[in-house]
Amino acid sequence: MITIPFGALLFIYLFFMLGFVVFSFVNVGHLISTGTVNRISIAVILLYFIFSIFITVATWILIGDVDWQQPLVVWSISWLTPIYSIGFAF
Amino acid sequence: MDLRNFIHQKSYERIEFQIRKHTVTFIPALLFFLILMVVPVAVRMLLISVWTDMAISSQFNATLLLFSSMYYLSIGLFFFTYFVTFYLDLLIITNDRLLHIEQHGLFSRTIAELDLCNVQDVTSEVHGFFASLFNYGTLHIQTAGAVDKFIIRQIPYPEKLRQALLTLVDEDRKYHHQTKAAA
Repeated sequence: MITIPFGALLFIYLFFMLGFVVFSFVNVGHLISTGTVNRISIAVILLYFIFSIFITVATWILIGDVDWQQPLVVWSISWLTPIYSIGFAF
Repeated sequence: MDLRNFIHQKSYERIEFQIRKHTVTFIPALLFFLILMVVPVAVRMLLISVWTDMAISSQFNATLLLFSSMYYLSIGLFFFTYFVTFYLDLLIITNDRLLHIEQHGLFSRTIAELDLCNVQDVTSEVHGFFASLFNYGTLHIQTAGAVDKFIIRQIPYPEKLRQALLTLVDEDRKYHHQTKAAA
């Protein structure tokens, strides 16, 4: 049985968030550099940031009481047991 | 940065039109985004109905929560990127030239420029039910320049724009004839 700490999933989330923040700022940078910042684009940028902050904060609150030290089973031989136990009747 | 700096506006030049794609053409992406929002809820319901014992596992719920969060942020980013590429597609018509800025993706942009006196022929086309209903279509501009044809899609009121563009072309030609005659 192969196990990893359940907290490893948080590192995946962290890497994702880094990419997410970089691409978000690239998008905003495009709007600023091309001189297209007006009421519509500001409204969309605000909506996007409110949406992103809401999702991130909601995730943070909901995962608050999870025990991240518990082991996460990545692979177990017992998962294959049903395959070995298949019987053939002739 | 101001749009005037972005297009390097000349001192005698004034911006006549600044046109983006018709707003209606953004609606399919908006609907697609809303449909994608429902997917994690449907997946969770499906998983719980198949593996009922898994639903009470804190590991299962936390994993599903983290991946759902990543999914929602991803589609938010996808939607924002789509908006940026949609919004940066811009047609700028001044009294001297025409600039067509096409944003193909986050890191790909084409800027085509055409002197109005090189315009040979302008054709407008409205094709389809929604295009006729909301009055948007395609503008074909035949030129004598390096790029022989400009095609600008999904712009509002293409017929009015065609007429306005031809008027501007006439004015620009007259201006060029006058300056040549004066010289």
